[in-house]
Amino acid sequence: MKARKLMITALTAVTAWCGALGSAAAADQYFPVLVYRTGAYAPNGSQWANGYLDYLKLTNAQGGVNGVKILFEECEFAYATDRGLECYERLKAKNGGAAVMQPLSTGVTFAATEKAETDKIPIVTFGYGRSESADGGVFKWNFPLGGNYWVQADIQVQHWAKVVGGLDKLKGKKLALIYHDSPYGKEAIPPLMERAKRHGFELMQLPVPHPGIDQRSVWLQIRQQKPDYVLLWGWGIMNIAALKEAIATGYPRNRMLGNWWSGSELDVAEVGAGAKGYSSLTLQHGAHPDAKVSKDILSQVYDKGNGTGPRGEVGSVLYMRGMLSAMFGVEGVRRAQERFGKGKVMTGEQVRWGLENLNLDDARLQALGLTGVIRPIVTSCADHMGASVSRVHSWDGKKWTITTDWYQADMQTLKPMIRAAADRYATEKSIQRRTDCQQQG
Amino acid sequence: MIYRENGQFKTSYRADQQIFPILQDRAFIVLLLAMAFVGVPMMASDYLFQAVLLPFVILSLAALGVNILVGYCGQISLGSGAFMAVGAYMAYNAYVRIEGMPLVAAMLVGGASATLVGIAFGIPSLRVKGLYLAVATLAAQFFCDWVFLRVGWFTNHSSSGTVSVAHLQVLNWRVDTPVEKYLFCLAFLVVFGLMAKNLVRSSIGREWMAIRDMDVAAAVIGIRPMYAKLSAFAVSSFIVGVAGALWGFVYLGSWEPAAFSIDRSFQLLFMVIIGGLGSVMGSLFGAAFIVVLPIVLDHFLSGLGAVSGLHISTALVAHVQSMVFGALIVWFLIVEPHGLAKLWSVGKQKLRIWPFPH
Amino acid sequence: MADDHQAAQSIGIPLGRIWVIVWCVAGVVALVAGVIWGSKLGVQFSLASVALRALPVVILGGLTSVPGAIIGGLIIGTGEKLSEVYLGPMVGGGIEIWFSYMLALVFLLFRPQGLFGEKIIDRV
Repeated sequence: MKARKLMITALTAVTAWCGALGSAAAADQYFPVLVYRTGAYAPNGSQWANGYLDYLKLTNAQGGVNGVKILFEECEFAYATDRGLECYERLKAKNGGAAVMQPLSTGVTFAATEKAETDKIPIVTFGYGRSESADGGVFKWNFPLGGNYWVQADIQVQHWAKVVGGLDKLKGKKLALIYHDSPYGKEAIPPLMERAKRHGFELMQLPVPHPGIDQRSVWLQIRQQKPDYVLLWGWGIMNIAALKEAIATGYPRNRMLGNWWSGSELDVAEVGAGAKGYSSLTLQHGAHPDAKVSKDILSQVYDKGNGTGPRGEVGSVLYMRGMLSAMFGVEGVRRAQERFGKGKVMTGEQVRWGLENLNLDDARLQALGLTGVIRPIVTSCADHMGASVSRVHSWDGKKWTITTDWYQADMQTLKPMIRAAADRYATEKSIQRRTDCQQQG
Repeated sequence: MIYRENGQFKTSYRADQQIFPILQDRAFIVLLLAMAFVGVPMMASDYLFQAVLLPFVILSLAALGVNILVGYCGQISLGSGAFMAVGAYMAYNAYVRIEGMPLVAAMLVGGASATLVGIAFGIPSLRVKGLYLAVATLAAQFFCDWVFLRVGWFTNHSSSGTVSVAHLQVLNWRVDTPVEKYLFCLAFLVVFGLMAKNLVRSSIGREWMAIRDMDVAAAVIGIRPMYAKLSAFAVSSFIVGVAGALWGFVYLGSWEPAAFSIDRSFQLLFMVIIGGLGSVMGSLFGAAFIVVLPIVLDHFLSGLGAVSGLHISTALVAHVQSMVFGALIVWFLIVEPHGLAKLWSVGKQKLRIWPFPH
Repeated sequence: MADDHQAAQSIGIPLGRIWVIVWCVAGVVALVAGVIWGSKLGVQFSLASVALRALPVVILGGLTSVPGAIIGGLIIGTGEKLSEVYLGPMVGGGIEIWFSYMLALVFLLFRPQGLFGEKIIDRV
C-alpha cells in the first residue's frame, strides 16, 4: 500500500513536471507536424514525415527564415481522424501558435477545415485535400498547393489520350478506375465522368474497401472485362496489392497509371521487377536523390548526424513530397515576413497571407535548390492551387524515371467545377464568398 | 462514518423508490453536476474541452446505449458503430433537407432512424445469442459502412462522400465555442442518463436483466422475449444514434463513413466491458478509461522523453502507448473482471463501514 | 469444457492446461493462415481485418465441426469474390465487405447450427 502510494505520488509529480516543460523560447516559429508512423499506412507516413522534418532542419541549419528558427514538434495520430483532431487541438496554440497545419489525411483535413476559420491557422494540403478548396474565395484557409485530385484525374485521361494518339481516339475505349472506397478515391469520379461523356470512353468504377488488401474480385472483373487502361487511386498497401494482383492476373503493367499517391518506391519495392513498366503521375516532382536540395540535406543535416530517417531515403518520392510540403510552409512564412516584418515570428493570419501571395519563380526555385524538381508556383486569392501541371514517371525495376513532358490540366473545364462545388459548400455553410479577392491583384 | 444511512427513514413509497435514497448520495450527485456544469467550464482549457472532455461525454453517451443492450439485456452487439453512423447521417439529412429543422429535433430523428435499423438488425437475437448474435450485428456494421459510401442520397450527393454541418444553434443559443459544445453534449448525457437509470429500475429493466440471466427461464415465467429483446435494441440504438449525431455534428463537424467503422464498435464494447456491464456509472468509467487514458499516456510518455533527454520517436511513443494500454486492460480484467463499476461499488461499501474494516 | 466449465472441472478435467493447449493450437493455425496470406499478398498491419472474416466461416460451417470450418471457408471465400464480380457491378461495387456477414446472418435466421454443426440445445 505504501509502495503504491509512493508510486502514485511520483507519477503525478512527474506528469505535472512534464506538463510544465515543453514551452520553449517564444522567438521561434512553431511548426506542429502531424504524422502517422504507426497504423495501416505507416511506411508512407514515415517517409513523408522524414522529408518534412529534414527540410525544417535544413532551414534551421541555414539560419532559419531571416534569422527566425523553426521549432517543430511531431504528433502521432496513426491515420485515425479523432486522434488527428486531438493532435491538432493539442498543438495548435502551443509556443505562440501554429504557423501552418499539414495533416496528410483526408479525414483530418475535412475536420480541420471546419475549425480553420476560428483557429486562424492555414491548412496546406500539397496535392490532396478537398478539390474545391482551390477556390480561395470560399476556402480562405485551405491551400491545396501543387494540384488537387481533379487535376490528377484530368491529366490521367490526357496521358492515355496522348498514348493512343489524341483525345478523339479515346472513343469506344474502356478505362477502369480502381479507387480506394473513401472520399479520397471518390474524388476521382466527377472529372473522369465529365471526360468520359465528352470523349465517349467507358469508365468502369471499381471501389476497393479500406484498407485495400482484398483486390482479387476487382482484378477478376478486370480480367473478365479487359479494359484498355487502368487508373489506380490507392494509398499504401492498396497499391502493393493492386500490383501483385495485376501480375497474378497477367494485366500488363504498362497499361496501368497510378495517381501521384500511387507512385512511390514503397508501392513497387516489394514487387520489384514485376512492376516494371508501371507508371504514375507525379506531383510535379519524382524521385530526386541528385537534386541540389537533397544534396544540401545530406551535407547540412545528415552529415552532422541530425537526419530523421535512414540516409538512403533522401530523394525518394514520398520523402520529396514531405520535403516540399515543408518548403511551402517555410516559404509562406518567408513571404509573410516580407510584408509583416523580416525577422519576426509570424502569426497564422500572416502566414495565410504569405501562402496566398506565393511567387516561387525560377530564380527562387534555383536559390532553394529545386530546379528540375518542380515548376514555378504562383498563388493568388482566387487560386489557392498555384499550379496544375504534372508529368508521368515510370518504374524501370530499380528506380522511377520521368518519361514524359509536362501536362497541363484542363482548367477551362475544372475551374467552373471547382467554383460550383465551392459555391455549394458556401451555401451549405452559409459563408459569403470573399469580396477582397478582386481587390488584391 | 460519513456514508451511513442511519437515521434516514423513509415515510412514503415515493421517497423509498428514489434513485438516490441516501442523502450523502444525493449531495454527491448535486456536487458532481455542479462540478460538471459550472466548475469544469471555469477551470478547463479549450484543449481539454475539444480533445478530451467532448469525446468523453459523447462516447459515454454511446457507451450508455451499448451498456443497456450488452450489460442489461445480455445481447452482444458489434454494430454500435453502424448505429452511430445511421444516427449521424439521418440527423444530417433531416437537418439539411428540411427547412428550419431545429438541431435537437434533427438529432432525435437520427436517433429514431437508428432505432428502426437497430430493431431490424436485432431480429436475429430472437433466434440466436452470444457469439452468433455478434456476427449478426457485424453484418449490420459492414452493411451500413457500405450503404453510406455507395448510396448518394445519404450524403446529399456530395462528390467526395463527406458531409459537413454548418453553424449549430439551439433556439437562439449558438453552439460555437468549445465550452458551449461541451455543455450541449453534457445536457444530452444527463437527460439520457436519467432516462436510462429509470428504465433499468423499472419493469422493462427487470425484464432485460431476466433475459440476460436466463432467457429460457424468463420466457417460462411470462416475460415475452421478443418484446424485451427488441425493446433493448430499440432503446440502445436510439441512445447510440443520438450519440452518433452528436459525434458528427458537434465533435467532428465534417465526417466520412470511416469515422464510424468497426474500430468504433470495438471501442464502445471495450468501454462497456472495462467500465462494468450492467451499470450506468460503468459506462462513464469505461469511456473515461478508453478515451482519456491513451491521451494521458501519450502526454506522460512524451514528457518522460523530454525529461530524460532521450530522443524518443513519436512512433515509439505510440507503440509503447498501445502496449501499455493493452497490458492495462488485460491486468485490469484479471484483477476485476466486473469492471470499474464494481470497484466503485466496492469502494462505496467500504465507505459505509469506514473506519471499521468490516 | 465448452458446455459447462464447472461440470468439466468437477469430473477432473484440468481446465488451465486445456485452455493453454487450445489457445496455442488456435494461435498456430492462425499463424499458418497468416503466413500463407502474407506470402501471396504481403504482410501488413491491416491483416487483422482479414481475421474477422473467420467468424462468418465458422457460423456457416458450424461452430463444433472442423470439416465444417474448411467447407465454410471455401464457400465464404469463393462466394465473396463471385458476388463482387457478378452482383457488385449492379449496385456499384464494394459489396464483398458485407457479403459474408449477410450470408452468415441469413444462415443464423434459418439454420443457426450451420451446415455441419450440432443443434444447440438449451438447458434451463
